[in-house]
Amino acid sequence: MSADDLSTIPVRVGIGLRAPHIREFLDTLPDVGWVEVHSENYFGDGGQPLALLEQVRQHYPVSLHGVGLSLGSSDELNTEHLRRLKRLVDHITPGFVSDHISWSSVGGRYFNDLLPIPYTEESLNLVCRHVEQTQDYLGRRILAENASSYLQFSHSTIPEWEFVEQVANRTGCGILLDINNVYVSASNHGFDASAYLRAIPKEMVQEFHLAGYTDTGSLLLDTHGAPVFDAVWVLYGEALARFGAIPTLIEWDTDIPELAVLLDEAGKAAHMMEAERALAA
Amino acid sequence: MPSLREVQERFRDAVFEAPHGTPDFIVPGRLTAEWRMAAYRGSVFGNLRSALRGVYPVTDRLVGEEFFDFAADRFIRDTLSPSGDVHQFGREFAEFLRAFPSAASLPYLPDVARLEWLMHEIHYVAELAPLDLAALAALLAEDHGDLGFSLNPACRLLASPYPIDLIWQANQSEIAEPEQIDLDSGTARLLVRRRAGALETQRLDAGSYALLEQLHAGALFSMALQAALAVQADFDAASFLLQQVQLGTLVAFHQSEREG
Repeated sequence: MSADDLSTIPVRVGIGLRAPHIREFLDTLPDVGWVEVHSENYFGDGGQPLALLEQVRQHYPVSLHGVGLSLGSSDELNTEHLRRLKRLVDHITPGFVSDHISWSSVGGRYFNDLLPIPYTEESLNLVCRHVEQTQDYLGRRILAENASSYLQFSHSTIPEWEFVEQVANRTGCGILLDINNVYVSASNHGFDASAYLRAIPKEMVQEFHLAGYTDTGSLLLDTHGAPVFDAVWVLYGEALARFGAIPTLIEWDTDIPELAVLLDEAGKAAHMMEAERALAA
Repeated sequence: MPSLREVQERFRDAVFEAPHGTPDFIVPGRLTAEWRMAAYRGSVFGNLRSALRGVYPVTDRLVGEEFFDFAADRFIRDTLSPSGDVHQFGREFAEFLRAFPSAASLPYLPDVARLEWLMHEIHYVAELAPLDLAALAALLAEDHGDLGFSLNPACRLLASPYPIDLIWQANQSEIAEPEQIDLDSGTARLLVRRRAGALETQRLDAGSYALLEQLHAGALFSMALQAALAVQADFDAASFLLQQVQLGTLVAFHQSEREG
């Protein structure tokens, strides 16, 4: 693969690369199509994390996935955060840059979590403005991900799938469709996950996420701490049928297992992606 | 309809303030609104606890999981996280522990935590190349003014009345029981650094510590040397300086403006 190819995310399965795996990953260079990392883990001026990411980037396309831009916050975007993101983007030349349709700060206090926003015209205008500001500042298109949620707001006026579609429609950003998040929210709020997928225009979706949740008995929590559940694999199959084969990521962030377990999950997703390709051919 | 600002401020209060209020803009459905907010409270505190645990593994080991969680929850409630980069959270944990009555029986704990924060900080900074010795020698050969030096950004200075470097070292192994450490062995003056990717602590004598501390604070060499000699009459400045330049502790020098 030429150096140029590595700045584009291929239509293959990648894994979320986290600190406990990065050395083994570099030593073994496993056969995955690409990797995604959390942008904020590489916001420092240098040091070991960035040095290792530079090495990874020599072998794989990299996607920079943010958890801290707080696109849905009533605060202005954090200019220092944007500056560090741009510095990293310019340095790594990632295939994708993404963050979430959620908020994580108010009045300068950060939750360092992905919190739900009421789906109103006010929120929609605000998220769109923040996405546009980010795209203008970075000089590139970003992807916006549907977040999972454990509550709904009584004053929401727009269904989530329509809100997500509108963000992409108004800003030109792509959609990072997290299949597990659709499933988690559908289960928590009692809507139809398949209908959600059908409501998203085909050409807007640039990336899928897959992960495992935690079932508390009353709520599904988006913990990224388990294998992908069967019902989410089924929904992934529906997504492949609707959107076609597109870059897919396996994420695992808590109770992180051996690298081999992630690669095995990636193998399952790749198998389904190939099956979809064979059907489509 | 509440504004987004109002929703977010009330959400924040429901997460961090005690007693927890439950905002009235949540659809209960088959679960109560309080139950749903509790899921977020658990998630926010859980994330921040695990971020703290990542920065402070030795502190965690010294106090045990249950106490660490207890202290962390109080800290999280009382301390604003300043950035969407969670690695910026926890800077004030050592000071929090110093003022935390439940931690008073471990007097060295705040300094161990401070050491862990400094290590965390230098994990993410650029390591500058060692100073150009030839240029320094050329400058010294001339009739030069006083010199100032900059500390490598991947270096930090820390002094403690307790042997926190030994405590830290003894708690690096998961299995081994920490050996007995004499807490009254005198002041530990440490140069904490990352070199070739690895974190290390180096013990300094009083003169060396004073010299580096003064240089780092912006003092010129002659003044820093006075400070060093004041605490250690036999301080050998020349060999120490050469050693620290070679080790990359001092990474830049600048000539003072000459008076008159």
